[in-house]
Amino acid sequence: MTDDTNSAGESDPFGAAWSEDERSEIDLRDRKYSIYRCTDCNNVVLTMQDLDGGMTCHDEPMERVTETKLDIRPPDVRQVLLDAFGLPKPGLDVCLCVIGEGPLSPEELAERLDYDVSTVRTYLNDLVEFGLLEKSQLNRESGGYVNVYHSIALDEMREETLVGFYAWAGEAASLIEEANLTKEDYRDAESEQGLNEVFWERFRDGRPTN
Amino acid sequence: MSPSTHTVLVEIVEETPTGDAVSKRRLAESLAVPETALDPALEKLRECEFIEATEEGYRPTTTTREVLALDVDFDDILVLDVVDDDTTDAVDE
Repeated sequence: MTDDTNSAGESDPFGAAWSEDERSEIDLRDRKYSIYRCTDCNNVVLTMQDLDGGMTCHDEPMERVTETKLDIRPPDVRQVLLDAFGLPKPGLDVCLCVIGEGPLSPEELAERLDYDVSTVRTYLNDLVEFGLLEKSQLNRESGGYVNVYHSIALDEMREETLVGFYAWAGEAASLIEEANLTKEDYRDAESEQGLNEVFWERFRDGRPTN
Repeated sequence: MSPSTHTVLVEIVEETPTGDAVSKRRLAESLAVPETALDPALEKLRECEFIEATEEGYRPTTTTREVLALDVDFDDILVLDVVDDDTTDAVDE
């Protein structure tokens, strides 16, 4: 098996295809997370904790958001890990396969997952770079060395992945803000070009151009 | 009940301050377990080249002392990629 890659619109390594009818409104009152909005400014915050007493914005209590006006699609964990962290399914497979199995060799991993050994080594190093594994190189008495891949503390992993995802979500939220501003700019500028042209000129390659 | 692999490894290191081997019987006495209870951990440690079997018993390898110096629990080790001196197979980043 070879490496899966993904770039927007080119290929979908997971075959994930959400249909329109999978979109739905979400009742936010019974979720594991909470969203609060400031009734004074446009600030919106997300928290994974059940905050007794709620949150405040410029010393005023924020309002708990209980429903979404826009329908949303359910996230797919594979797509979330790929989009937020650049971790494709083979990387996740390697990560899941090694946890709880005790020390395995890359060859054993490759056999279990039906991947090339080189693919397994690539994703082991990716997981180190990503921060889910730590790697140490130790000497062997008979010559050569041993690459030891070990897990980081679970609490640390949980916090770091959440912080990393929040950072990604913040970047995504900034893009949405930027897109909304572009529409405002368009109205103000009374451009002769269509909004479609202006928008994609602004977001060439999916990110705002300077 | 069998002691964890890490417990056995630490015990071997503590029983061999001069690098000599420690017998299986001595290990079993120290850990207060039957000798047979040590077999799974000893086998795993030998496979991973963390200990070497000698006529006198078992001794830790250089790799073991280095891994313990990292304060890494053996049970947290997920993958061991052994690379020979003359091997170009394993690509290190």
